[in-house]
Amino acid sequence: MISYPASLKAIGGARTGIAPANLLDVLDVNGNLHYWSDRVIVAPNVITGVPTDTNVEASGPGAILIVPDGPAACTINWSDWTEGTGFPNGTTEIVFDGNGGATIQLTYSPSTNNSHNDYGVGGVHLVGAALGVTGPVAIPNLPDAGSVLTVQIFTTAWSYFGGSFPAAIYVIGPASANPDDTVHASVTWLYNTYAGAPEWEQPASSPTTYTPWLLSVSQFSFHRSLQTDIGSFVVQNLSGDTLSRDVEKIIRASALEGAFFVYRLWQPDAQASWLEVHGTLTVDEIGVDTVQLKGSQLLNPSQDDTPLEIYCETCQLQWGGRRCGSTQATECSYSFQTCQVLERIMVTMNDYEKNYGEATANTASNVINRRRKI
Amino acid sequence: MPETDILNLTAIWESDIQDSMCPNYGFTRKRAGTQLHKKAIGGTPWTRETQNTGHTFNFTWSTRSWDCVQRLKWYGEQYEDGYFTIIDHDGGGRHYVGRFTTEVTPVETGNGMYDVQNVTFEEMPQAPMLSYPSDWNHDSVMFFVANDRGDQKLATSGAWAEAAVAAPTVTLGGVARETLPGLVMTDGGATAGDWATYEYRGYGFQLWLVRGPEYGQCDVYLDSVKLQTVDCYAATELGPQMVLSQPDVSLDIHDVQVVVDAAKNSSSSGTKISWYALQVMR
Repeated sequence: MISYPASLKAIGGARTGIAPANLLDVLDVNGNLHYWSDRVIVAPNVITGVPTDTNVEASGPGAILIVPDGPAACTINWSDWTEGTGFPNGTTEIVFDGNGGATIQLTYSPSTNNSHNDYGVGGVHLVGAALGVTGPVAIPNLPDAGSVLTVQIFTTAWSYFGGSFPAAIYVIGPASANPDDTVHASVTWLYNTYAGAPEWEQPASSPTTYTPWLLSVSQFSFHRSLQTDIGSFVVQNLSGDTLSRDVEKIIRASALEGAFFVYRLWQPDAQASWLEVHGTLTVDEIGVDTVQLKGSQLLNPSQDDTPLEIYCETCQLQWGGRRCGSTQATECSYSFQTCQVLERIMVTMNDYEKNYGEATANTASNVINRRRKI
Repeated sequence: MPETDILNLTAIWESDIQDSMCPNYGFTRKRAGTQLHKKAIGGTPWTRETQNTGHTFNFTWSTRSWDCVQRLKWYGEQYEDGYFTIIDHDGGGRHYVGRFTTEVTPVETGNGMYDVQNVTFEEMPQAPMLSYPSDWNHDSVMFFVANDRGDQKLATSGAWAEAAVAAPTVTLGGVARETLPGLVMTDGGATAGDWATYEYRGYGFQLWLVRGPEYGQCDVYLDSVKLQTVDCYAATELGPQMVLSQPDVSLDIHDVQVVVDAAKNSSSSGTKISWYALQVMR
């Protein structure tokens, strides 16, 4: 059982009269985030989505980069945030092919390449681009998907490469390899088709202004079974410029079909929600001024695709197919009598009784105990 | 031409009917709502212009001659499926084109005189007019790139971005307005074909763009028909200026589009285009 926080119980019991707000966080299929409510309200969001920039604290271990297991690309801005201009800058792009390989290339040449960092701490795993190599260069020894990397600068690479390259070697290494615990880069993901565990660092829930698009949350049906819980949301469909409507633009991109949502009945003065529902959306009805969105729970057995097969006296398997297994020359009649691979037949076995006469028919009989006092 | 058929050409006594065709009690300018409204319980209202309905008048002709009511009756019958012009002589002589949408029912009051009451006249959208409304100082409204709630209403395609500007003083509603918004949408003018469009309901319009030394040229379209090329260059920084007036437009929902030419006057130092506002006749 999910217990309510004390603040919520105190507010609810006190009946302060402050109405809860309906909050709807939506992550559409294009990765865009929408925060809708029935009033203008600032509340912590639930779906934080993909940050465009990974801004890491200056005292942290560097910008986090997690190797994705699908095709992805990111740019790394090497401008040194905290140490002024004495550190190398420039930008590189890393492209992950999704098959364990990746390339890195210089996309903007550094203008500063002084050597300041100690490159000798930790092992260097991934060598980026140097001034003499603009790439794309295959990254050797790319760790497995999910590995946490630190984007950092190992600048005194002169000796690392035997003095054959100028300074400013961009390196991605393990988190432990950052020599000075100082941020040297920011990572921006260009695209990422990997939909599993996060390859980027999810920011914590942050105060978000919810726009008042949500006109009503008309109904929710909950079932304590595999029957799908459903709900519906009515969103305004009027705002936007004079040519096109905001919601229309989202729907036009089919971005709400299957979009992930989190609905909360939010008690503002308790900073907690009475009810939280997670699910996916589908566009139910588009009206002239409103759009009705239907939400259904994440576990939705009705969306499972099952083979179109029924139990009957006709075999459901295709003759000669892999599930049938027959190797004979003539096709069967899809019946028990004509089956060529009986151990695989897919029929309902019926045993019809012959000469089923009236006189011998079984009739229901109940034993009644007459001695019992009613 | 129906719009040339004027019910009340003159406000004075007409000897042939021994009466005046102007209605009693003047023109009550009622306009049906043309916007859809929706509002979340704790939010601001969202609106959208969806209809092109014009003015509606409820007229009464009291104690009129038989010839007068007979003519009213004819206008009702003849233009049941058409339109004619009626002039608001008391209200500055503004023309309206439309038709009676309720029955003209003369009721004799005595002495050979008749009353015709509660006749509804509705404006006809898209109908041409003999004289289009032109009192910009009193009847026009101004639409800016964003509405008062900050929602961008100007539709754009290309490298348009909001920018600040010194607001002009424009007479609206009979008052010189000095507190208009200081906001424009500006396109750098690098790409020909970038466009900005505003859809409005009303009659004619006046387009306000920014003029100055670094501004370029653009084409202005009304409902996909090019009106003219506007050169926004000026030797000095003039700010928002009325660069194009198109008063002779029928009541309807119209699109005004500015297409960046990425071209400039030889004296200009740039090709920028900045949209300030669209002044629309209502």
